[in-house]
Amino acid sequence: MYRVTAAVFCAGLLWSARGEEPVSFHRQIRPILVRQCQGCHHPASRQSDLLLTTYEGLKQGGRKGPALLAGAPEKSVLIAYLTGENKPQMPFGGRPLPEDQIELFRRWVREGANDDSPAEAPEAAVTKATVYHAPPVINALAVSPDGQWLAVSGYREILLHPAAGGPLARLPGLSDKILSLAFSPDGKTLAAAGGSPARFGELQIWDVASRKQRHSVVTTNDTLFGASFSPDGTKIACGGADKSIRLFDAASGKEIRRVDHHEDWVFGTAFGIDGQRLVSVGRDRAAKLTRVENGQFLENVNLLKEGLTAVARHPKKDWVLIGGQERVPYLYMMDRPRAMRIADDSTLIRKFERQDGPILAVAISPDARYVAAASEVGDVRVYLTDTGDPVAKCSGHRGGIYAIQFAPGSQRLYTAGFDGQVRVYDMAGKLEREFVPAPLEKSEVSQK
Amino acid sequence: MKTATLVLVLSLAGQAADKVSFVKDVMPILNKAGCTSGPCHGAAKGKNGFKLSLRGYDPEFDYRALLHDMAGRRYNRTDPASSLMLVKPAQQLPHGGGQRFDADSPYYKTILQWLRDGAEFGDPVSAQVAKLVVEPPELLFQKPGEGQPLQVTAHYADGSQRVVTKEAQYTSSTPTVADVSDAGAVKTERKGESALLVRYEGKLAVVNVTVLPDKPGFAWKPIPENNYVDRFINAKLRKVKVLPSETASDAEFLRRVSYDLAGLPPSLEEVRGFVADKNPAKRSRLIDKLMARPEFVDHWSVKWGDLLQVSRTRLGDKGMWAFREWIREALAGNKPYDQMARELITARGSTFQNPPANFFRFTRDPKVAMETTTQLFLGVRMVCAQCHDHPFEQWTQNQYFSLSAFFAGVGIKDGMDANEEIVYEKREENEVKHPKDGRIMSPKFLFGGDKLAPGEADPRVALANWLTSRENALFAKAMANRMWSYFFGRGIIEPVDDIRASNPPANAPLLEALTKDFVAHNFDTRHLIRTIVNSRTYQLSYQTNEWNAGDEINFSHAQPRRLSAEQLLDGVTVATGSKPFFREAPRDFTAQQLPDPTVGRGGFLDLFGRPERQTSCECERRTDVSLVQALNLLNGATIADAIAAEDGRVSKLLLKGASDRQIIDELYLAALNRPPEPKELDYAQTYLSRGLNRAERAQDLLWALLNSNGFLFNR
Repeated sequence: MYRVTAAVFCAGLLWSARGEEPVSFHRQIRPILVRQCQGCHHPASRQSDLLLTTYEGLKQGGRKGPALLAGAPEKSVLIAYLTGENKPQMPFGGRPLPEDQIELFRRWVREGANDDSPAEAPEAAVTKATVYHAPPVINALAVSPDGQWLAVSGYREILLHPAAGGPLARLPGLSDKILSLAFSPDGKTLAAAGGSPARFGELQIWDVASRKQRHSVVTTNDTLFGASFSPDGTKIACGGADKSIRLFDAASGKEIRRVDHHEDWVFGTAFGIDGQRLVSVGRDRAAKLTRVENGQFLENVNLLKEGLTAVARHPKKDWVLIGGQERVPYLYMMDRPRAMRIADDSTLIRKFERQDGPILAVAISPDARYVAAASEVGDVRVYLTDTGDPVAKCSGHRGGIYAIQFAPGSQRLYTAGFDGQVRVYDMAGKLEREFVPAPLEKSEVSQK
Repeated sequence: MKTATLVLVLSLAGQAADKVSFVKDVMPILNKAGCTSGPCHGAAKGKNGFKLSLRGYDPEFDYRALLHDMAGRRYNRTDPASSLMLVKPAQQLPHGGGQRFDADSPYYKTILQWLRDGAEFGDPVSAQVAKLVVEPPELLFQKPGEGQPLQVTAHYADGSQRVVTKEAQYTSSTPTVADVSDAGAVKTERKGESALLVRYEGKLAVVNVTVLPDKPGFAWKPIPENNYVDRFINAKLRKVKVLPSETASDAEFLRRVSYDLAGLPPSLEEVRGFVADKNPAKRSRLIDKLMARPEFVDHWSVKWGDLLQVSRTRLGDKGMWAFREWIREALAGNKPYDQMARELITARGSTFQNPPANFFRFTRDPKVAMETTTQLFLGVRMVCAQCHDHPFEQWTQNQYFSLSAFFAGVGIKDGMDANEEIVYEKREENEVKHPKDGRIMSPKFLFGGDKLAPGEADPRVALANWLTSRENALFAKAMANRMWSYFFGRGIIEPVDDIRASNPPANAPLLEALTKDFVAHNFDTRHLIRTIVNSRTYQLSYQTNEWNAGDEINFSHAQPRRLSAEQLLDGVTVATGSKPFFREAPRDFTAQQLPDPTVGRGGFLDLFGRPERQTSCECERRTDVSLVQALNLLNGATIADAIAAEDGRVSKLLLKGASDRQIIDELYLAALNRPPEPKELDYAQTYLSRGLNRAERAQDLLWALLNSNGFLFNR
């Protein structure tokens, strides 16, 4: 016993004699974790329930218990997996860490496994206004019910344009990307869903009149999509990259419910007329009908074909227009006319013309007369809801169109997408107006 | 507002030459960094929701995936450096694929610059790599351990060039001999040969590497040459410091060539006569004699039956017999190979009246007909290109479908008789469609353009003209290589029906010479066979010497080959004097005369690798050796019954009152096709004379011989 203590003591002396500084988690350990471990142990993946993107996660460990025992590297699971003493050796499927790196881990644990990271500044809302050297890709736009406002997504902000012209209001927020915009039925509130890809999702709730952000709800580890208001304006639904549907209280911003019956990313949501039911569409090919009250899955509205990206509800009926990879816009009713059978498509009302590319957005005019579908190849086509006859082809875009919406009078269609222009078409497909909604810095854009 | 619009138009439409181009600059990075590889985003379903085309064969798809897919998720125009397509591979955020490059790397900077330049697709024409040049084009190392860096230059369609050593991708066919690093440095480890495949943007180049053994004391000595085959073989052997074996003994040669040409072992009289014959030309005279025998036709109709999938399951009884007869007539009359191919590919009419029309009964779909045709007649496997451009060859998905289009017009309808079918040319517009965009593909040759087959309206005739053209680089070559493999157990290119740049021949000049000779003799397969078996190389012993013991690929010694199922059974028949009976075939048929795998299904023949005849791949016939086979030979009824048969050889010898010596001599001659060695004789005599049951002991001796490698292998 004495001998052991002595040995430890000597080792300690030798060590301090060599003048080595303690291992720094922040400078030495974390970079290895980032490079070698986080690919599988991050919030969206979390192999073996172990999270290695934070110090807390490391400390807490995963399914195999705490990852480390401070002061005792030989008893730390983390070290055992790195050395291959525990199988499978980590990094899984890759080359083992070089011995000097494993030794760093050992020393760090032996020295107490302390976190010396500087206090991290929380993800703060952007302090500096975005400077645009090129038109930003537009992922979302929304027209207020009274037609007074046009909200367009920018980079880390929402660009709010008075429809009649006038100064632009900029609503800066946390998220890099705003992927969906929706006005409340009374036009007083603006909801924005988005986030920063592979980092976090966010729902922003804005007061339109004061242009103040009422709530910023940061949730999930990736972006949110497809925000929609319930008809009474009390709830907001979103889809998520985590395959969930999320329901929020519009007034408080509180998450009311998370629903997990999609099998892949959820891109769009639409409430039924009475707000009791919700249709959501996703990459899992399904338009799912959910009871809002308790999150119960009711049934699939559609016959599953290919991944879906967009949904819009008929203004007067419980009908939904959906579209996606298959390039065909479908109009479905939410209520099945007869008991479901195998491969039943009795809810289908109309199938519209196949588009030239995957559908990225759909819309129905407020008077329900027109439906529109926008595709990846850059045209928007308008059809009569009742017959499916083509009405207009709105061309002139360069690149995919991510957002379309009819203006309140049902005589105009707003479009926007990859080329960064907002365009306004009439119902003959004639381009009335086009503009870049973001303030462009004129200087640096290359003219070579 | 107007200014802004103008600026946008400029930035989107500008095609300044110095801008980073997606096709020319970014795609190679995605390929080299592994993003588009099979286990990663190139997988059929992508990875974690992000899909790229496999090895970047579809840049337009990849461009859309990076910029547009999922609401432009991976691209950030306003702040390019925060684009997910950079953040992930640089592992600034967790990435399942790990860090592919860091933010200081040239790859990262190129992609960032591309995004800053407006993320344009670039001009696909000028970005097309026309040719890949590797320096040095061939490598010869004097001993293992030596190395050499490569330099790879891409020559573009617009005439420009670029050194792409770092971006090119490398694979070695035999990494244990010579491996190549990511940066293009070759390192050798042990003696042997390897082909280094260099890939860059759909183009391929192959660098053949030879690593000479460190063999002190090796000295070449002059080797006699029977014909040009030996000249090329010996030249190669000399280069790689290998001395060939001695030639095989007369008895060994007789057995080998009898099995190889006629599918049967020599009779007792033939062994005695051949060994005693003093004529120095007796070997080539024997070859001619064997090739004139009816068994020659039997033996080769088994091989053609395999390749043309002759089987009543597909063709019905009558169709099967008709097709078999057509093959046998072609072989008996030595029909030129090009004519045979032409008759198959252009066949129409009743499958009974015109048997080659059966070709379309087992290749009912244009795609299958095309895949079968290319694998059978050109030794090319196109199947990978159905779903994506061939990863290790120049063949593209477009070529797959435009070549299939030659067969688009083939129609099959029922004939008058049961099981008869009529192959006809459909009258309506026929279409083979590209799966990606549904466009209709027009027939287009795989290579050589129209100059190999000018102006022919009938698509199948045009295809046959092209295929069998004397200038078609692969048609004669594939057959020469296939034929060679039947006599050596492996092709000069192996597998024989997988000819591609990344699978180079063991002896290219030899294959070239055989090909030329074959064409010069108007596709005369008998001439080809005669040339091969008359060579000294074919007649080498299987016994190795100090200098060729490790050689498996240069044909410096014979390679013992397990007898085929049919050879084995016919060998047992000859050795035991007892013939098995099959219900589905005439009584006097030998195993190699059996028409199809329905005969004796599930029995001895299938156990020893007889194919079901469901593909035209040479690989369907198994040549392996297994434990079940060994157990069957030891304990199975086929051998045991034949040995003990009442009218069999052993019974007859005993009834005749043969002496022990006579019995031993005859059994050795019958089973191993040679007289016993003195030691063997001694041992056998002791065994036979010990104890009472002489009949059983004689049977034991034959059983032991049939279970020896000397019987089971052609060597």
